[in-house]
Amino acid sequence: MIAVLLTILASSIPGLAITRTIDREIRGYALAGASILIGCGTMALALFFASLVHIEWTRTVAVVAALLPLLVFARSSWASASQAAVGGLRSRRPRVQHMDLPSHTSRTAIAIDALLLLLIIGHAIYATWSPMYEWDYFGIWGLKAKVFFESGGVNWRYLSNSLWHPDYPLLTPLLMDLPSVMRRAWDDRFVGLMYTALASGLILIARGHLEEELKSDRLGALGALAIACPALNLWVGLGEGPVAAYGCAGLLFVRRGVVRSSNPSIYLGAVLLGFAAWSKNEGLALTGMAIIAVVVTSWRRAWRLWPAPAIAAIWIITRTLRHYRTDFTEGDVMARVMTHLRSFGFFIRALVIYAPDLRIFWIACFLTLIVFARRAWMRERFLTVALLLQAFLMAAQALATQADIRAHIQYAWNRLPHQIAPAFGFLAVVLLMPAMLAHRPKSE
Amino acid sequence: MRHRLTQIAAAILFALLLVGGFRPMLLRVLFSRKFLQQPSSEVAMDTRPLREKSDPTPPDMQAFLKRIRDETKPGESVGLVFQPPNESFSYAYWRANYILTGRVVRVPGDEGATVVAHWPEGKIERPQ
Repeated sequence: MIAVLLTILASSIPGLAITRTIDREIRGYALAGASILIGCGTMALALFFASLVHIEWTRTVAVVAALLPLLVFARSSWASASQAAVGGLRSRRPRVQHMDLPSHTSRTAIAIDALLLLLIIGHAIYATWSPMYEWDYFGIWGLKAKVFFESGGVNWRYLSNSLWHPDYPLLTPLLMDLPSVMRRAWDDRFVGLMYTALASGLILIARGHLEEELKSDRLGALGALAIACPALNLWVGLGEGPVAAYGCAGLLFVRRGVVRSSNPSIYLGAVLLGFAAWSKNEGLALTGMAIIAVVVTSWRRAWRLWPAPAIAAIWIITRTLRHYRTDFTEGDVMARVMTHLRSFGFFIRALVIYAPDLRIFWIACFLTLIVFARRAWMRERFLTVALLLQAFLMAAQALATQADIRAHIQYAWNRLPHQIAPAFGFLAVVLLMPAMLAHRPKSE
Repeated sequence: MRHRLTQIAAAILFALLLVGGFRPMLLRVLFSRKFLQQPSSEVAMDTRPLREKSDPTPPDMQAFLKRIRDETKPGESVGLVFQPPNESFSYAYWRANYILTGRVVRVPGDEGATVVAHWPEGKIERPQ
């Protein structure tokens, strides 16, 4: 357990450096959350790049990978300080607009934060009360992670011969490998803590953004509480946790960038969306939907999302060059879709019967979007468009399945929507709270 | 009046969001883990996370799979002859893949493995 905790901590330090290099405005909860997510993601991708250049995974490689961002950050900070020391140059530098956060925390906020902490501890216990035994862990994510660890790097031959989803992006298994590389021994006993850490990172980001948005630490904490449990994903050992954490955090930062005209926030969001694309194919789809949503909302800013497709492209090019098959696109996709569309009523009924849990939460989210549709379109267009498109895509992808459509929906539809549940909850909170408190946004 | 109704609607929806999104289990687990030890079905395919139930693989099967690992070398091929409900591409097959990493676990029905493991007999054979 100590190895996993130290890995998360050790990854968060370069994560802090990278986050601050990208976005100098960020501070508080959001900075802490982004540091965890960016740090773990960067370290995991460093393992991938080490394999690309045939460097065997060792603790030394991981430590060097952690030190590199620190050196870059130290150099950029030194350069900034030198520039600031030179008279006249200081006034030409763009002014950094720090996140607008309250100066002190109220007792109510502390009490709600304590409850949030208990929920996170509860998830950590749940994630580690026994070794992993999810089917998808043994069949896909954990299996790849263990094969890679024993091979000392990404095992390309294994992926080529893999029966099950060789095309899936590698961030999730690489995140599982990270503590084992640091520990120099395979560890599947406490690796669930990585999932708790990623979910905590997302909760911290939501907490920080809500506090800034609502200009109240109490409301920020209350809003974070509303989305905490959906963020603490229960599918430990699968791709759901990383894609939910990176995808939703990415959406939240891009939203902040669009709403507050903050380019660094958009860049940071784009990097997180790039990591989401490396977590699961749904993350890749979410990146596409986020780009469409930015084009719809503020098309001039869309190019600033370039880090997301750039990061995603690394895996797409790798899997294309290595001919890893994608079962969804194999065969006649359109024929399958048309066949399934002929029994559209059956398809819709299956979606209702096998709907994900937390149903009251979902009903509240969609009712909020209906009741406050005008406000959602005027003020939260980016998040609304991105999430509705992604939700539609998640439902529609079942039409292209090669398997029995009922079984596909039964075993996928109960967990896929949880990937975007925290962002849906965040959207509902930022629509409901101002309405509850009769704060009328100026744009309306 | 309309403004007041909007406030009430927002308050009701926020309460629904808060209550509907809450998982008491994450607090309950702080005090007791007994509910996580409910037995799972043997084939272990479920629509809920398996972590909410106990491990569906019997301890003696887990021990058998570890014994196969100990008695085989990396690169060897292993054939699994498991009886229902653990035959074919069952949960047990994937679990064996995980425990036997480094070995080539033959797909069900594929012959020619250097090591053949039988369950529930618990036999490990090396066909000539």
